[in-house]
Amino acid sequence: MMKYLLGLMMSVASVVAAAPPPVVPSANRRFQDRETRVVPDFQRHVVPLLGRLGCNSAKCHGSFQGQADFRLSLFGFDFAADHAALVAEATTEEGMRISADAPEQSLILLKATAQIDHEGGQRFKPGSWEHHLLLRWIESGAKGVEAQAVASTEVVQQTQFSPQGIRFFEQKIEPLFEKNCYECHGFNNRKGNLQLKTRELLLAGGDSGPAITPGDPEGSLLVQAVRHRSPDLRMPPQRKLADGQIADLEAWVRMGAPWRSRPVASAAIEAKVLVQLHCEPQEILFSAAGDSRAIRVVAQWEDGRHEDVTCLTRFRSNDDAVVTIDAKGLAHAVGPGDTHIVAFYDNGVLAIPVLRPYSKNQSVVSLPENVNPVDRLVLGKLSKLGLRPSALCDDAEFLRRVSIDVTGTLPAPDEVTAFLMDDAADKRERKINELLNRPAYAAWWTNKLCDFTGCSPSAFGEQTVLEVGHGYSTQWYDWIHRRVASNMPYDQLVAGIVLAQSRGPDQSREDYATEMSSYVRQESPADFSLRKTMPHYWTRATVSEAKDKALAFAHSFLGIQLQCAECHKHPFDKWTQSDFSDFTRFFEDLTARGRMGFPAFAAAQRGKIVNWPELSVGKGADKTLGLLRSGQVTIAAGEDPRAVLMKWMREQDNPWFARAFVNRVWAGYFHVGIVEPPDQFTPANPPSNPQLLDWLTRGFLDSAYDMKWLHRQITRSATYQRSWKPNATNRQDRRNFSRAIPRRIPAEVIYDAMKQATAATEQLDAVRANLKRRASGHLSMRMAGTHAMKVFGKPARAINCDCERVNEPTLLQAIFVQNDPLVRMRLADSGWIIQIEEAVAAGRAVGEKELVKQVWLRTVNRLPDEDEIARAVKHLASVDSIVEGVTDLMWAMLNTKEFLLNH
Amino acid sequence: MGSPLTRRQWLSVGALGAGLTLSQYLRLQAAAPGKPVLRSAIFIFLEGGPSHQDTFDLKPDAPAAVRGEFNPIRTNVSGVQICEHLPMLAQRADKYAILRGVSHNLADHGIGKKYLLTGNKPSQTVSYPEYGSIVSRQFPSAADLPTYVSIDESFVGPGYLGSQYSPLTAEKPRHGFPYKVRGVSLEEGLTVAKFTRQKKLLDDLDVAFRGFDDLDDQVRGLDRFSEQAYDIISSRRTRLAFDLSQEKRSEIDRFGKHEFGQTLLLAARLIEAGVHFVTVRLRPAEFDFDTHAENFPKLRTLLPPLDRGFAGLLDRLQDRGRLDSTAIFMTGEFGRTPTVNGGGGRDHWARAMCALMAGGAIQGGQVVGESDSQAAEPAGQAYSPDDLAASFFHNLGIDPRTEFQTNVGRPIMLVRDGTPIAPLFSV
Repeated sequence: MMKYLLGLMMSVASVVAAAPPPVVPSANRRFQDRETRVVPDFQRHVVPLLGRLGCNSAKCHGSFQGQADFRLSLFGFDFAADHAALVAEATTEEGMRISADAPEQSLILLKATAQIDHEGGQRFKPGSWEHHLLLRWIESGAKGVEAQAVASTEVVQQTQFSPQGIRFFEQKIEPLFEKNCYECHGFNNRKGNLQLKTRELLLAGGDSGPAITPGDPEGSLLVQAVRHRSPDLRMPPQRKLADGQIADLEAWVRMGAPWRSRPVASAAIEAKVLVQLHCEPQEILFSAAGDSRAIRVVAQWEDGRHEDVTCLTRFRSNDDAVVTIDAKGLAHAVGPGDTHIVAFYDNGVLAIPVLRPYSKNQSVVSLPENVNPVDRLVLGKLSKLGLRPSALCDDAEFLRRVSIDVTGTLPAPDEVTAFLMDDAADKRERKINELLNRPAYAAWWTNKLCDFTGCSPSAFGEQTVLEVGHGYSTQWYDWIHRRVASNMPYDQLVAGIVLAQSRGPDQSREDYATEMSSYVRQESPADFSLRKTMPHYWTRATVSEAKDKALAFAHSFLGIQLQCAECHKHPFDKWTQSDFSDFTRFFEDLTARGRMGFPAFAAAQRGKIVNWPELSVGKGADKTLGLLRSGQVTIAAGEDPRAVLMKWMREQDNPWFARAFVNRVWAGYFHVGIVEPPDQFTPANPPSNPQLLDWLTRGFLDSAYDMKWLHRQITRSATYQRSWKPNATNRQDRRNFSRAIPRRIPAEVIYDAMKQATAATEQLDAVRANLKRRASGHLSMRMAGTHAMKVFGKPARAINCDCERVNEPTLLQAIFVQNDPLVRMRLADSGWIIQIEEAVAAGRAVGEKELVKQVWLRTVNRLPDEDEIARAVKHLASVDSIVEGVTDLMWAMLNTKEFLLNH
Repeated sequence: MGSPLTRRQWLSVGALGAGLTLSQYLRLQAAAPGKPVLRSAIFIFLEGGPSHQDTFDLKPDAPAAVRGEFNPIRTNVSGVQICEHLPMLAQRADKYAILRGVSHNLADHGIGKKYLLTGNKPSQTVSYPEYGSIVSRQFPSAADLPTYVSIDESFVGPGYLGSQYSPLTAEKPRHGFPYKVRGVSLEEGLTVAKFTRQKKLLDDLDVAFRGFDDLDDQVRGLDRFSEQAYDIISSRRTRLAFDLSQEKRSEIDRFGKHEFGQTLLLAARLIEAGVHFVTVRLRPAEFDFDTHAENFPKLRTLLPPLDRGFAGLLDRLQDRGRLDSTAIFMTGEFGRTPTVNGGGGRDHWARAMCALMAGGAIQGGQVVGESDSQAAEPAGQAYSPDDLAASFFHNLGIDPRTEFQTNVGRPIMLVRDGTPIAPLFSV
């Protein structure tokens, strides 16, 4: 499995060792001499050099506006455009960017050497190898990447239109759309479900059908609408377009509605293929600050060429506190710890592990035979780093931690005392199993799956009344909840979302309307969660375009972020724009038809049968697409491309599907994932412990995607059960799980925990178990966006990022816990404190010590020690009434770090 | 700050989630000794999309269906005319700049608001922060005061900057009622003395991590914010800043008894007390410029409080010598349709709108940009919401091209597509 992520450095290394190929020396040596006759290559030398010099960065010429009218593609890889920009005449300056007649006088050289004024300053010195390289490239004809005859659907599609047609579109039609139509049918806005942003969307049309029929103005709705002849069909509604504009539109449709070619990196098709990068050394082990080590990078190309590209490579350290690296590839040790140096060249990314032990104490602990493999793998890494793990945490701490992490719920007071009294050796094991069988486990992990899949009441359209959004998102939650509760294998659960259908193959529209309406009627509603599949993932308004579906899918199920590649080459990954556009095409035939408005929804709630939007899976045409560099797949017309994706994800060596979930579950139990952030699987962001992630993923697959296996395997490990208290070696370790790292408890858990801590004793069970009233249960959707949830960082589930959930402490949180009306209300209305008040009023004895114990059990879920009891009792004696005193105690304990942190 | 810092002082460096280390803070303070380094700002958002051609961009020569019912009046700047229902502002036109010919294409409330409240087109992949959150991040208050206050609740939030840059939410002041700031006001008989007693008890009982206070960021952060929260809630200065009953009758009257005016008075008080940024955005239920029907009767009630309130704000800041150090920006999400509809209203129109800027380095007494004869499109140079945002930041001394990192490590420019509008700052 790991061959994908680590293969770059491991497996290939052996190949290199077996038959060392001749390596072309590095450019800084070959171009040192001005008289060299070597001819540099545009892709291999010129563009990487511009990248290393920073020319194509976002701040300089890589900016989408360019800089001083000179624009390069951001992070390179659009070779055709970059070449065109370089050879074009500069418009803001005298002279040619590249001068064939007087190469030395080329603007790009005069500017970069600061011989004439350059806002970016001097990038290299006159007479340097960089100067010679670019000069030689210009002297030898300044050639770009040679075009190769490669058939591609993209290219074929784009050449349908004549250059004149495209120019007509760009000059006349696009500005007209921009000015008159996009307000309602453009970005994020789709009146009548019609969007005019791409030709495909125009052809797909909206509620009234396709907007245009290419070649036939009379048969095109758009043309009819702009003529304002029919009272029902007038666009734009406010003002009729000028006659000339209408004539332009007619002419354009007659031409076949030419459209600008999409900015797909056609250059990628022509580009030379980099097989991989090799580096020497493959791993760096430092022993003291100030140590340094030079890194050499060799590129292996498909044509067999090997070249030393160290001087053309961009380097980055993933942690400057451990190692820094200079532009020449020289790594300098800074502090102890472990991280990676990442090398970028062409579209290759290579991470080089760097490690400096915390102490010399690297003794290998002898481990029992039956040790949990999780512990074996973690301890293996710790010993390399000279880290000793912290001791196991005590029972109360374990119970609180595991209850929060598995069920999102604090343990009940009685549960704590019973657990502390239990003498059995296997009590932690039994508690884990018990927790995994509670409904609250399903609720809490459903809430997490709703985070990953983007289940949000506001995802169903800006104009949709929230009530409708709540309906949809609650169905979404319930559907997942049923499957988590029954421990359905993860791949099956996901397949029910990925392959979802609205209307069954034999279901009539009427039957579909009846079925969907039955789920929301107030009187004995049918159970949506019993449906075989859950189509809301696809029908939400926030993913109406294919590219949005592609981005969401990659994030939800693969743990990867593709958005950079939508507009430019991904800076930290191999993804180019053509990878992205191919992936997007898997989703282009999926459309949500119709929209649910509030009146219809309310009617359905009253028991009427109304029409529901549905997902339609178009027939499409035969297509062959690249699947995220995992090979080409062919999808026949009529075949559901999602089935192809699902099959691929279920392959045992799929690099992401199972692994991303395993990593996210791990991140749910620790402060970070093994890959962190958990949705950034990139070669530039390797796992902190690859063997551990490997082993867990293998085991998860062998268990047939048994989610509870994964939870159990993690929580029963000593690694999970360690104390947060550091020892002499591991205070600084935040990456290798040598101790627990205290984490602020999540928004939903805080909300529920405060309710539980103040509840009347006989209400405790109900408060804990009624999932309809829990912030991690049904209220998860209702409460989205409320003040309390926003303050504590519950994600809006509006963007594709795990970072949306924020666990950092903030001032507003402190203000909230100290004095928010909600907290004050919990205290004033506390059923438990009212019981005390009543007891006092009735003259019944209330044991002060017992009250103090209760406050501790309810908040920090342990018994207070003698000293704490003494302080608390002293406070009770110092105030006017016992009720006031207990309120103070409860307030204080809710504000302690011990309560607010999961430790 | 020559004396050694106490722990308490260290803890109170930076408010509302300041990300500053102590040394950064000291550097910032030392940057310009004797002079105030920071500018404060008031951002006023008129919810619903105010009609530009019935307020600051009248078209008296257009046909009746476009021109509408209102007449222009002269201002104290020759050649500049505004609506007859803004007489007080007409007398103060030298103090602000009118931006006409502002234009975009998102004529929907939701996304239009997001655009104007952030200066960046809304995106599916990035959530942009509102202006106040940026200021909160760049210019943290140093004392027992919040950096950023929003009246009422904010609509966009801190976006990619993270929740530590959220505003403190204050309710709009209601005449005759005590002020109310969620989480800060002491309610239900709670007194500072009682609150202090509770806090002392907390300090006494919060022992589990004693000796490990600097172990991890989370532990450290909780301590620091707990102290700061207590300081703010118990602070006399904060309480007084929010307490409008401290104002003289004449000041109350100067802003008008309307909620809008009183909210601006509160904003002025907060700025004077040392808060760095105040967003004023009344809920549409109270101050709604979305005049799809009966545009003119509605504006006859909406414009007088706008006139008096904004004029009051300019006068007050001027009187207290604060106008030069306070950047003011007032806008809505879009303008309204050139032609009056069948119901006597005007509908959404983003192709042309207007905005006001004042204070700081803004050169008042001028009109920047213009719209065509129908108030339908920009005539000549068009300004985008991005340009407005860039200008606002520029006025605050923040480079709009400042780069931030999102949590996924993506560098993002504060305002990607806008540039400061030069004529606003020319002398």
